[in-house]
Amino acid sequence: MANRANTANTADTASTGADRAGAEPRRGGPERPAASHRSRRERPSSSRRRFRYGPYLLILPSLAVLCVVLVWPIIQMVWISLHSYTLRHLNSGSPEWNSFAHYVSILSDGYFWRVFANTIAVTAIMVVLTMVLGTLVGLLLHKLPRWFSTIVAVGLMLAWATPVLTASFVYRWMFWTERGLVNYLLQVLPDWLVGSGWDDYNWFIDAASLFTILILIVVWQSFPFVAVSVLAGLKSIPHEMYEAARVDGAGPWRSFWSVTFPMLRPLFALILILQIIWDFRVFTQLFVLANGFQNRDVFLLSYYSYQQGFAATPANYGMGSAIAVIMTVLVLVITAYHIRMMIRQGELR
Amino acid sequence: MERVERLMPAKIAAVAAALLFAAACGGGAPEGGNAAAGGELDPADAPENLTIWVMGSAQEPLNDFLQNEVGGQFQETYPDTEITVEWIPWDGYADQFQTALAAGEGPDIVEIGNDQNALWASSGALTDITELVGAWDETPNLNPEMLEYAAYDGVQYGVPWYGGVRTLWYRADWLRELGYEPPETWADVEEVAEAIEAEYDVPGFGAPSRFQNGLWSLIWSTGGELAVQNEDGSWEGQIDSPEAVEAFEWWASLTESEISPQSYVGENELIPLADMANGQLGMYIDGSWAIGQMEEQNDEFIEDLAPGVIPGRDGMAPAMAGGSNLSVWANSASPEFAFEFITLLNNQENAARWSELAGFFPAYPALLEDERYQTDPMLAAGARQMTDVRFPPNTPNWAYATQDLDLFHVASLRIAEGEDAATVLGEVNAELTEALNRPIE
Repeated sequence: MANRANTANTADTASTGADRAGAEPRRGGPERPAASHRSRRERPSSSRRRFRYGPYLLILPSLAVLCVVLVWPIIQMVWISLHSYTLRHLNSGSPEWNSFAHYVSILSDGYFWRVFANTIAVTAIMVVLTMVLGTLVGLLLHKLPRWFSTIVAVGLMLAWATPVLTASFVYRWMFWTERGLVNYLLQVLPDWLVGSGWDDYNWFIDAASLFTILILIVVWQSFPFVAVSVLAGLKSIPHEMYEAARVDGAGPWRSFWSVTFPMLRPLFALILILQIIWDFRVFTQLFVLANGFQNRDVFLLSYYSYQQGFAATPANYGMGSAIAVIMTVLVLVITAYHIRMMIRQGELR
Repeated sequence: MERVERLMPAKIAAVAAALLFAAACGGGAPEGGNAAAGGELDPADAPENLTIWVMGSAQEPLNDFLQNEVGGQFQETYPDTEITVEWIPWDGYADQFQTALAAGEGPDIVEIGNDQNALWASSGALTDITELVGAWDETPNLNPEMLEYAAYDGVQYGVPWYGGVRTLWYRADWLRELGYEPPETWADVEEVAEAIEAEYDVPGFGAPSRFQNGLWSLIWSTGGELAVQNEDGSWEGQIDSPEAVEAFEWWASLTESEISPQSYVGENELIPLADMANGQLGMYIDGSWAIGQMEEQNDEFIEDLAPGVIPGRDGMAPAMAGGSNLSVWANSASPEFAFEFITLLNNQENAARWSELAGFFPAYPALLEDERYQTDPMLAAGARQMTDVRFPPNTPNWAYATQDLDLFHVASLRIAEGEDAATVLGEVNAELTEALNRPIE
């Protein structure tokens, strides 16, 4: 999906580029294509027109590939979600149109909304923690002497580069009942500090405690990316601006919000949207922590979709697809909003 | 539909053969398997290959038996047919079934866990073998309840191959030293468990909360039911009855009174299995197959382990009848020959051999009267338990309610965490009823 966001960006860059060539004032989205057509027609020089086909020809191969690997499967997914499509239909008989029965049953199901609310809450906590922690570490890296900052950055990148599956298993072992490191440490710590009975505590049953570990893994693996991106951004801000802020009597807090943040606004917007999209789809970590599909209290949307489509008895491809469609629509809405904001702010120039 | 048409001539032949056979025998006990329905099959039509999918991990003696012994017997009549045995691990087997089904491939003969029969039958994975089974001369000798449980919606999809039950595993050396017989009632379990803990300082009994087959046993032992089917075909959950409440409460009380460790809450039998293998537990309930797994983990105490029957409220509890059927896969190109192989593999002689090799119990009640099931201590308890078995409701939604929704564990977990059993079971029973009546897409 990160790919999709990038492609969307590229496509928009191309069209705004065309607008700019047409020297039309850019306003709302819908008029844009018309505007660029008009400008193209008005151009007298045929050499200019031929030149402008170039970019489209260049993106044609990647568009074709995207259609095959992305657009076609999405069309399939939507089609499947609108039909009764289970194991039985796979083998014999064709899937039957069921007039939105999957959507009706999901959207009227209290359980789905519980999963939905959990997904939003868990995603929000992950994104906020990742952004705050990443930014703080980025600022820290900027302040550290170069050699030290390199060491810290390498350490961060190791967390970031650890395969998701490996990290998930390590965390699962650390929180293991009786034998896990975390339970052991909590048991060893004085009772007045952390309470007692930790060696028996099972982290993986209760939704709140399992989500805590999930958030921990995801944040641990994603804040280095934010930190390093912020660091790169910080290096591009001229020193003079901070000096000016200091002369005006701004402390660190004020100079962050008055200099750093406005300067890095496009960067933050991009990282934020990527984090939302990534964290919204978290699956692998949950798959390892929940260890199966028995505990329905800990489902998130992506997990629920997979369970319906592949682990249900019998597998219900239609229902799984319907949930996936709902997720896709949500991600597209977020992405579309983001692109709109960026165009508004003229960041795609 | 095509499949049925293709089968028709064979079915007619089979019925005809059965009628002839019945006439010839005049109602006497059938002898030998030579006059089976498949006897009408022409060896010249036999396929080049028959593939059988067996569940579990390949064990050399079992593989040898299927491939060479039974395969060899089959080739005496059908010399051109190669028998291929493929082992499908239980873990993730459904994926493999689904993939084969989607690709229009798969085996000719397949082992199906008896409680999975309704699921795969309703998914179109299995061939209707009603008439072939009706015509087979060994059919009347099979356990009739197991046979019925291999049918779904009035259609026969399999024949029972073997049965398995859970039993009580206990430390025979400790019980001997303490002077106890293996407990058969709930009160006995508590008494013996407390004595073990006092003497050996390990938990006396393991009661994991994820224990649904076992919970069914406990409910049956109090006279309760899981669910009943109304005349209109709809289902009604019964686990809010006082009997079921009593069973759930007893199971949770074992954790509450610290007879069973708190850390078993949320776990299945695998954790007590490991503790049992390592000498850290006195008793727990598991299948006969658990002995092999325990031996793999630690064989130090394996000689000291012995099985007993499942303790019920007032005596031996009925066990959930586990086991497997043999079915003909929907995509088999030669279903008649596949069934012919089943009749050979599952005749009394081969069924007895298989059960002996695999550590299960044959689906022929007559075979259970064999002396070895009375005298061998590792078999006697299971054989006794086999005389009182029950089946869960025969609907594909049972798998949905117990696997997807995991209702029995949800209930047992909530009760173990201190909620009121009657309230919890009232709620969960409503969910069970709703789940069992879910329309099948």
